[in-house]
Amino acid sequence: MGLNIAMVCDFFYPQLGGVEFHIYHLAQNLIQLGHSVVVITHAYKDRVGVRYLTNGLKVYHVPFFVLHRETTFPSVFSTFPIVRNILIRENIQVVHSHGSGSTMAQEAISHANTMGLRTVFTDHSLYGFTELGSILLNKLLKFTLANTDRVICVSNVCKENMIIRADVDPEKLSVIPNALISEDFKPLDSDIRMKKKGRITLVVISRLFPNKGCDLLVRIIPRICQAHHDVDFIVAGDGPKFIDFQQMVETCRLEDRVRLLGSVPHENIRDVLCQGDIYLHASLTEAFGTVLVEAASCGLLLVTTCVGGIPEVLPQHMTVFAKETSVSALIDAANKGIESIRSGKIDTSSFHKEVSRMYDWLEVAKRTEKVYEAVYHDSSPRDKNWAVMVKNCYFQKGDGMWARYLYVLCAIVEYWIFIVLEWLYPRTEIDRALKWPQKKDFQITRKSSLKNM
Amino acid sequence: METSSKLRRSTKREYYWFSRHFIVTSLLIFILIWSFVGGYDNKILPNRNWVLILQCIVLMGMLFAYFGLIFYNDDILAPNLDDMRTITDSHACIVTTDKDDLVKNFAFKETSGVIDLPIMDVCDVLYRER
Repeated sequence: MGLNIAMVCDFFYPQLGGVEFHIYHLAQNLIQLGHSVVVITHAYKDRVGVRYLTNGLKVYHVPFFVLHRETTFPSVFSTFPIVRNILIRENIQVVHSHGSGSTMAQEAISHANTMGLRTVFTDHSLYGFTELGSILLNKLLKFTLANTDRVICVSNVCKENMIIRADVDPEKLSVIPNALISEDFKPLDSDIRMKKKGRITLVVISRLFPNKGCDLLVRIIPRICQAHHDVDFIVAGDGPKFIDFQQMVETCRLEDRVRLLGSVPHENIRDVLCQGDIYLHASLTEAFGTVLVEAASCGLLLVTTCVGGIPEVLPQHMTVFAKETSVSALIDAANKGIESIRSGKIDTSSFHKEVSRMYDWLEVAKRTEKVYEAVYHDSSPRDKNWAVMVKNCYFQKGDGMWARYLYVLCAIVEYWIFIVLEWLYPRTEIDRALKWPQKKDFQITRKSSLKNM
Repeated sequence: METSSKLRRSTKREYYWFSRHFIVTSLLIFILIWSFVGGYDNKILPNRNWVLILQCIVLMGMLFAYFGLIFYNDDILAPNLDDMRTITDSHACIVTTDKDDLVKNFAFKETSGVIDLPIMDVCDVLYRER
């Protein structure tokens, strides 16, 4: 019998990105395996309320005040009433949250723990240890993960980062990478490829935020254009740094050679990728980098910084790594890449097949299912006992006195709110939602209802 | 050469964080002392009521922020039940096809792009036999 799973994250469609599509495809494939999945996220402008996507994937867009970069206002407790309502309404057994940058995901985990549900957390990014922002975030993460049953990381680097940041027991950690739908990222036929020979196009696809290395790109692009007269650029993506790119194009007079596409819907990413020969990636930190896999699947040579989980993601022969994360090293790497494409030394036509053998969403879903099974296998009813959970919060390794008292205080307030909510909005008065039928059940009931008519 | 510059940077960091720790801790101790012993007979510190008022404002501010947030989400951000936004929106990409095709290709099958099912068909699938 399938489980009832809730995926919680601040980031979901209509926003586009790696985390968003990870949640979407994982949910779809878990449904395929016979589970029932709902997604809980915040409202995006006029996308408010409940939406049904294909395969009966139900998405709750909860109206909530958004503070910064599409994350909701961090307040520890204030999402409790609505999240509790949804979890009861959908008979949820496992709450699976995504992304430590997402407030909603972290809060949902502590609410679910309070309600005695099983919790799983997936982390998608790497964080530092020395900036004030990441110190606070890591403290918050320690509080949330003190009672989480399992943690999933998208790459081995991400796992190590997690162990150091949040002192998670390594036994509780699993590594499950992202994947892609390889049929959607097929390269162009070889004869069409041959026709456009002559010029080399470098593609950049990224949300234009500082952590994606936009400041490097703005310096790299003019210098490569100057060095090679047969090289063009396509930059797809939008964000606060878009204006820097516009200024770069205008000041260096590169209107003919650099095309800025702005935000591109995910279904058109393949068409953009296929216009290029080399994919240039200048990210400063990256836990996995789905777009690299997509680009390789489309038969592009990758030129990338060697940071985070990137070296684990793809085999050596598909990539040219920059020696360090700097403008000159990236230019050297790009020159190397351009040279090997120009001389025809590298045959990218086999990339698609290799990538499709390495990455598949169904495989990811099966491995995630194993994690859910492990949660049930290793669990004891004591895990979600309030006293035990408070104890776990208090005996966090490596935390100061103030932080530990604050954890305990938050946990106790959380339990109080739970008791008040149980009294104010009793469980028995919450309607239970109907589950989307399985295909075979639906066809049987449909035939019998037609007969009765 | 490289290691020495790294070392220099790291010691600089240590000084930075230590001074930060020192300043914050002394500020905390100062506030604690002020809120307990500041008064008229004490000529060094100003009246302790000032710091107490400040602490009360912060505490009450947090309380108001929590309740304000709940009411703002409920009353301003949440649309009415008869609002069009509860059914569809500008980001939606809705399937427009006949019933059999919908059941065959969309209702029980994954699509690689995000596609919404029309609300009528959703109701039909969920509630028909009831």
